Amino acid sequence: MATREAGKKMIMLKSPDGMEFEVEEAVAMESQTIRKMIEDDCADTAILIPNINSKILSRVIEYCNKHVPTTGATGAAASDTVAPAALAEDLKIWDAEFIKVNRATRFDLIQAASYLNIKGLLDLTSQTTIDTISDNSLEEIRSFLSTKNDYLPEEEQTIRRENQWAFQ
Amino acid sequence: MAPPATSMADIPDVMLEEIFLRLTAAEDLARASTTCPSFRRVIADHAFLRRYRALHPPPLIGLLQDTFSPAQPPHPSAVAARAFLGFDFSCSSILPSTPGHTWRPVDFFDGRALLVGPPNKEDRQFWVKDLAVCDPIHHRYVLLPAIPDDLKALAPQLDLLTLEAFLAPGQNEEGPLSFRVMCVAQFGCFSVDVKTLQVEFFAELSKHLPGRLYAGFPPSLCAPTI
Repeated sequence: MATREAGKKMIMLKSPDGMEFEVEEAVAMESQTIRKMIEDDCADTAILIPNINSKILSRVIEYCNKHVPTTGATGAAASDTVAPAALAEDLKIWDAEFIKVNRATRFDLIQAASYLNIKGLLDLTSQTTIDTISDNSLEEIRSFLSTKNDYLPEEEQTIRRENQWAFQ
Repeated sequence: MAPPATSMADIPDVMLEEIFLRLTAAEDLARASTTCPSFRRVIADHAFLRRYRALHPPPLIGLLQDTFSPAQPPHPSAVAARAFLGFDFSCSSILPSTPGHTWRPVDFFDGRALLVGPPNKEDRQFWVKDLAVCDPIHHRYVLLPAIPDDLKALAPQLDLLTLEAFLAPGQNEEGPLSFRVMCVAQFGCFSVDVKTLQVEFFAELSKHLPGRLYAGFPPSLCAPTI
């Protein structure tokens, strides 16, 4: 977890299964939802994140730690020596590793990113779904996203006909 | 604690929306909506389609002359253009018309068509024409009000035998899907607010009519525009 540095304001995040995570305020504020709570002064001691378990919350914090703008003491030193393009490339590689998770975890991360309103994480977690839809046949999409084809046969026929142009 | 999601279909609609908004190609959106009923419910929702449209400008589908020429590969909209094969863009069948009173399309913009009726011969002011804005996909239309007399009076009549009309983007504060009908006469320009049907004098001088390129979303992905 985040190491405490002098002068940095820390925030306590609590998951519903009782775990507590102490993070820098700047890291927590990567979440627009938490940012709003802090700005509205609803966050003096600890913030309970009601629907995200500790396993997912720790991964979200890991993401925010990596993506917090590099304006801190270590960040400033890093950006003096490393070109921004190299930093962006490094983040991309890190993101690609980060998202190598099983499907259930990915869905949980999508939910967490959406609830906490972290745009970058939502972009990252949705991308696999977007790619699945763009690159695969209907049967493959259904199988990869574990969706059931609950259409009535005649209903599916109508919808197939309407969208025929997208399948040629 | 929400139960863990094991299927995309378990993901709440608001999050599905966020994901589908990231699909950039119209055909991908169409394929997603064919996948399962819960995806389709999200995608076919008019509010969602309007959000989608505000983020992704409608693809250029083809060229409308006497007939419709769809975009061809390798143009990126070639797939979406296939949805319009054999589509009737004329709109004349949906507008109220009497024998001898037919409508002629003069402009297309953002999936809407602007049509003019024939000059009203009974009205001495020969240049006054009926104007209608149509959504050819949903067969909806709005008839525009006549230019009020006090505004007509501003015009030296002889200069106005050719009154040209075209569609233009609305003001930014009216929202991303807004549009206006502009009527250009030689001395100036009238603008019609399509929501309030208010006719205003628009001071800028005329510009040439744009070409009739058609941009729009395929019918199965389209919320009404008027």
